[in-house]
Amino acid sequence: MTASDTNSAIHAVWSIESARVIAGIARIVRDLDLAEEFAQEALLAALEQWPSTGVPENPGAWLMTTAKHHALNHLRRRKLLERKHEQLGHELEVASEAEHTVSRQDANLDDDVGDDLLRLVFAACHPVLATDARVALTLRLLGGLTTDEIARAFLVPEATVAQRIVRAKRTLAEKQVPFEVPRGPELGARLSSVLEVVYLIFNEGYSATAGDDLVRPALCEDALRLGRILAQLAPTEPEVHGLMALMEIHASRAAARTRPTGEPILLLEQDRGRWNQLLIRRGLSAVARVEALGGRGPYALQARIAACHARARRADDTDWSQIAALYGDLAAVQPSPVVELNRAMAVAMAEGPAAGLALVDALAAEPALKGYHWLPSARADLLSKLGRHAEARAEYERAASLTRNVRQQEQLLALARNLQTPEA
Amino acid sequence: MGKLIGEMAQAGVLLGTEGCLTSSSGARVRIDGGKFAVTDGPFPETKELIAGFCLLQVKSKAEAVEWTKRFLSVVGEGESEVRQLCEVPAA
Repeated sequence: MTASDTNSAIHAVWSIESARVIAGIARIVRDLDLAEEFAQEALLAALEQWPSTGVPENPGAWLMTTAKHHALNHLRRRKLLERKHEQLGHELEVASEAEHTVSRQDANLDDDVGDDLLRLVFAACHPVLATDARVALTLRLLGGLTTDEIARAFLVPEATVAQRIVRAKRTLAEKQVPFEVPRGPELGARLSSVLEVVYLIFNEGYSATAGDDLVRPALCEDALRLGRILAQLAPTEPEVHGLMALMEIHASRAAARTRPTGEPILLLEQDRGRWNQLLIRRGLSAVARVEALGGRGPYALQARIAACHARARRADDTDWSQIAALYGDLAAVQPSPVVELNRAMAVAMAEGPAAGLALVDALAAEPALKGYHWLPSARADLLSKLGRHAEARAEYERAASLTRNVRQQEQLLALARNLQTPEA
Repeated sequence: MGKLIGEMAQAGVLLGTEGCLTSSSGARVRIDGGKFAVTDGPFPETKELIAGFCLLQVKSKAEAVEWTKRFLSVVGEGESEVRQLCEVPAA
């Protein structure tokens, strides 16, 4: 094995193990900054030693043990320096527990690892942090991305991301956020904070275009991986499976959703033969888990809507009445004019354009939709289906004037032009 | 093996895995000059038989190789081939 082979093997081991090592150390030192530092020291030790000793048989356990030694040395040093007995009670207890764990090596470690990871997820996504800080910390600590990769993915300077991460860790330390899995009534709110972060990462990747730096579209895979980890750690939470299903079904359409020029292709016009069947199957089985768990939350409902599309072999086979009903349920748990607009369009598909138009018109005065180009473009679509071409044309033009996306503008104006010459 | 598959799932990399029964329940189908030849299993003459597959979503070949090493450590002996799936380009 050449030196560079060993090097890439070490980095591969690191990308598999780093989150678990950081999580394990964080439980001992109760500080994410220190946990990351000691994990990094274990990586450095590996880079130093493995090229001559070879990669150990259980590299994950080796990294964990090495990082724990650093952590325990730190606690001992602090004990000698501070001699604050009352504060030390807990730390010594943890230290002796940790030593015990180290001596057991990985014999029973696996049971703890899951809990440690979950604690790390909840800390990184804690609501005391701003959303962008939660995103950066999660990608760094759990996704194993470097600061530079996060910066490139989110199109911000590296220094900004580095600062976000430093501040986030400081905030968690200052607010003394406990390193634990929330229980009882707190769990729901904390979990939705975690899911929000994962879905945001996914959508950032999903909105990336063909010309972007590859780390941007790769965010989808990072989010999918995080979601799968969560689904393993919290298998009885329907919203986790709902988010997972939603992401897998969206990801299944990746190859079908844009033209080579980058122009988006609407769902109903996509070549369904290009949808990834494996991801659809995974998404649908996650939906089945959601249903078995009785999930009625926002992700569960969105996943079930996505599943209706995924099940239809042709666009014409889509079960629009079920989609309309699900949007109705979604509007009940998460009231939003955008959801109402989607429901109106589903009703139009199920019951005809006139029924849909009545619902869309009811939204016309909605202040939240003012300036939202999908509203006039939806109206235009329904009006043109009803043969009211002049009104439809005006709505397409209005929609075009509301979007800043040039490609979208061109598409909307082309639709308006087509209505101008119906005989052509 | 169950433990390893559990680890793959917990790391969020496992997309799917299947193992094959012995080749006695299988068949080989060839086409040569437009003519099919179907041979029922078992296939004793070959040294290498496909025993299964594991579909992982990882960031690098090195990471795939690392999981493969862990798989082979459980199996004890044999060979695995790591291949990258082709990503379907935009329509």
